Amino acid sequence: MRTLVYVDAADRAALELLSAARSLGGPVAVVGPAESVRAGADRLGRHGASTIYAVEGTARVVPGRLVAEAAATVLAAADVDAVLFPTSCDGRDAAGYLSGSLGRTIVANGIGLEATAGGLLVTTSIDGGRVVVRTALAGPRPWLVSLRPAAFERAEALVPCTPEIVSLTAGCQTAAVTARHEEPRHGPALEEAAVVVAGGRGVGSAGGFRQVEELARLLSGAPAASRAAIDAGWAPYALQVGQTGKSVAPVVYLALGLSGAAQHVVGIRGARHVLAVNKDRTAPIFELADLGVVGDVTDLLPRLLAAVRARLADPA
Amino acid sequence: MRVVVCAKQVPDAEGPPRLDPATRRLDRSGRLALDPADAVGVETALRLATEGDEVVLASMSSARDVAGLRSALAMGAHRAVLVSDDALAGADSLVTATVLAAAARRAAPYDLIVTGTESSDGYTGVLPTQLAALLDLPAVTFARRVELAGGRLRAERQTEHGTEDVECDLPCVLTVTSGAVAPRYASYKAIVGARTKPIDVLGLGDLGGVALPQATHQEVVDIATAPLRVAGEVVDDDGIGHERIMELLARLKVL
Repeated sequence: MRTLVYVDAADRAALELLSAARSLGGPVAVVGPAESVRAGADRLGRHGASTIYAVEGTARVVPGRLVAEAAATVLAAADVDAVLFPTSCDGRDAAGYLSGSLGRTIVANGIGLEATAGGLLVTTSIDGGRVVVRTALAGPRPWLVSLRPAAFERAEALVPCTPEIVSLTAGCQTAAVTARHEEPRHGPALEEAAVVVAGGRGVGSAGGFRQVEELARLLSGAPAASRAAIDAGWAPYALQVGQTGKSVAPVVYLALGLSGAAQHVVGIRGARHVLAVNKDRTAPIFELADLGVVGDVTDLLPRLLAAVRARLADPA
Repeated sequence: MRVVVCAKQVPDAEGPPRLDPATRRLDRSGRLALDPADAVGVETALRLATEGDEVVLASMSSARDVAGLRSALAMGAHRAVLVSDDALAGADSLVTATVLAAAARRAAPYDLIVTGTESSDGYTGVLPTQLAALLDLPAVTFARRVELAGGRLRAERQTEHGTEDVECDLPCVLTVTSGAVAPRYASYKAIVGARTKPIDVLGLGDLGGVALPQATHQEVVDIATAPLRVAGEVVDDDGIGHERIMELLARLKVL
């Protein structure tokens, strides 16, 4: 099977998608914004990309539509069976644009992928991971799929490629980016952290969320936030875990004052142990937790912080 | 200015969306309400609109219950175009986008099309740019702070690493994150007034030759429950909850 993979850059999601693509067998090509894919060409090659389509003119624009148009020209010229997308913001843009312009359906949020006789079998989950659905994708090629982060393991190819880089341009109208603001991060990246401390609406205030960050720091972990905490302005977007946002796979996920709504929980499937604190005994998060404490986070968190500080000061 | 807002009616039920095992589709029986993600879209449109502008809802759903659309009309939208047809049951996002594009064209000319970033029940998140592709429009997605200035849209857009400031000519598609604005509560007077605002119900035939994508080509073949985790112990805090957490963190060698 010949697969084309959309990438934002040679980032974690790209390498995971390359693994997924290689599992289908056959050659794998990558398409993405030129600056990013050229910078990551070596890494993409080591993870199995034999061709890199570098879409020019994407540095100061919202790139999804341009890359989708460029991908369509690749699909028109070559026999491609499957196109894979990440669920990142730009990835979703590109996925929708390509699906709409080709008139091909797309299966989104895949966590598993298999080749079949006439198409693909995509695994997805709904209801916070409690229900697993398999969907057959068939009909005219190419078959379009978007895949969740952390669903596939990154792995270098047994035979690394020196990728051929092909420059592409596209001419459609897109939004211009006038400035970028990267949110500063201290400590381990969310996707890599062994410990994640997440705050939801129950942390009560911006000050409460500062305590969540403090606890993460003390445990050498990363802070995270549910959509509710971000909407309240207590945490930046970059900390969001869930359907929109990051997927995490820590050893310990500490869920403080968040209910465990399906759209959040889809981002924590990979967590080995979940500990939860919530005022509401019926919160769905308790169904996922190794240990659940029914209580007010604003009351418990200061006590927990004090205890952790004391233990770190005197481990005896 | 005319703004078209995509408004999905979703099951107004507590609890997670269910797949009907017989049809293998999302169960959409029961009362319908406005998708909370689209309430944000409606609010965004209402704030961008000024005197003389029109906010039109575009929706695809069963016509048996229009409570969701009525609540958007009560917020201040002027009218709705609802496409309802048995042939659309189980439609995927591309079919839905095709139908909404046809509905939007009926409301043409428009300056802006607004949607949420993803629906609360299906959350595939691809419909907005499928729609943009079909209408041949640029898109500003994952937007939070939005303003219009001189025929251009300016917004703060969410990315994986933070935000970016973006600008786009109109007309375009705009998708707003769920925290972008707080949807207003409708006054009693507005709720009553909404009952007489027009909801134009159309079947596929009324859309005048809309070409639906040939047979969807995606089919659910299997549904299984997968208890990833067995719920562990749940205890009351009672002043010692933090100690139980400390114990477990120590056992897991985090502390």
